[in-house]
Amino acid sequence: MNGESKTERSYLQLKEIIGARQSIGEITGWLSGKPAARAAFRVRSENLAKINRALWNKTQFRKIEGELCEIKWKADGIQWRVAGFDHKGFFVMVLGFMHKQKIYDPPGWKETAKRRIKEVKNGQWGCIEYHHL
Amino acid sequence: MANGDALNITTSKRKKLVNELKDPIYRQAFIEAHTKDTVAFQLRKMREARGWTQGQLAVKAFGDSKLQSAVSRLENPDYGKYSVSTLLNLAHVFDVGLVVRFAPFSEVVDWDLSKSEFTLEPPAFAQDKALEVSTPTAAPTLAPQQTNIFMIHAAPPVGFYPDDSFSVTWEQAYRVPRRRLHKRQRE
Repeated sequence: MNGESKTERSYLQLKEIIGARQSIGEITGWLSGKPAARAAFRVRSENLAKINRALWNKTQFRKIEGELCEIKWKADGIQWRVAGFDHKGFFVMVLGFMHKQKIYDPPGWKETAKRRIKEVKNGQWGCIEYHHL
Repeated sequence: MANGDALNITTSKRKKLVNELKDPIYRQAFIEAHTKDTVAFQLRKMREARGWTQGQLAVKAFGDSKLQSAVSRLENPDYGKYSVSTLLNLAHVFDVGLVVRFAPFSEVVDWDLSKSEFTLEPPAFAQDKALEVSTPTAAPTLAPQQTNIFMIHAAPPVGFYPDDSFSVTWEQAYRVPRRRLHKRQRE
């Protein structure tokens, strides 16, 4: 492309957690029935994947606490987030949440996300590659 | 990965995306996200590639370093309030083309699936090697047959994309009359 051979690489490879009794991943399930959020997440995550992490900014991706980070996007007038952490070359998404003004849904998202990160490391959750529907 | 495998993955991704687009809410959000996100990401990528700060770009584009906050807003993908004149100004500063037109969804799907790290950072005119091997293309369709959407992104000129589906020459993009163009070229 552009007369030069360049290698395409991905700066964001997504995985999502899946429970032993679940048939679909946590984020896939959370986003089903939310078409606007799903569409905007697709575009945002694919753009992030194509841009060096050094160029990401706080409006797109933010470190929250320790290894807990969030991907951020807006759709339908609502702020959408997925919480996750970097793990073995992937960004593992553990929880989806949203907020409007100061109301978060689910309210205890941070504690839940931190607990799930520990559980992923202990093998209590499975991890599968995330594919946009 | 063999070429056949890559083709199958692309075909499968395309089918999934087209299926998603059957939902009008998804369609609307998809176009909105593409329009806002792509321009914001491109601006940031092009600015960083040139080693400019937001303040320096503000001087080049708006003649005032105090408008750094305006550049910051333009680079925020959730902002999305771009005017065509601002985008033309920025295209001039970066010396890249700009495509602003309504298009069928099929084109947006092709752009989405072929988008890469390199298409997000179109080369400036002087670095655009594809210009040397390009062939003329037809003018963009003015009346797409499918549902219209609005596309807006910085783009390299003709020949950059494998199938040339997105490219227009700069005289098409800026609608310079052919007679004036020839006069300019003679000069």
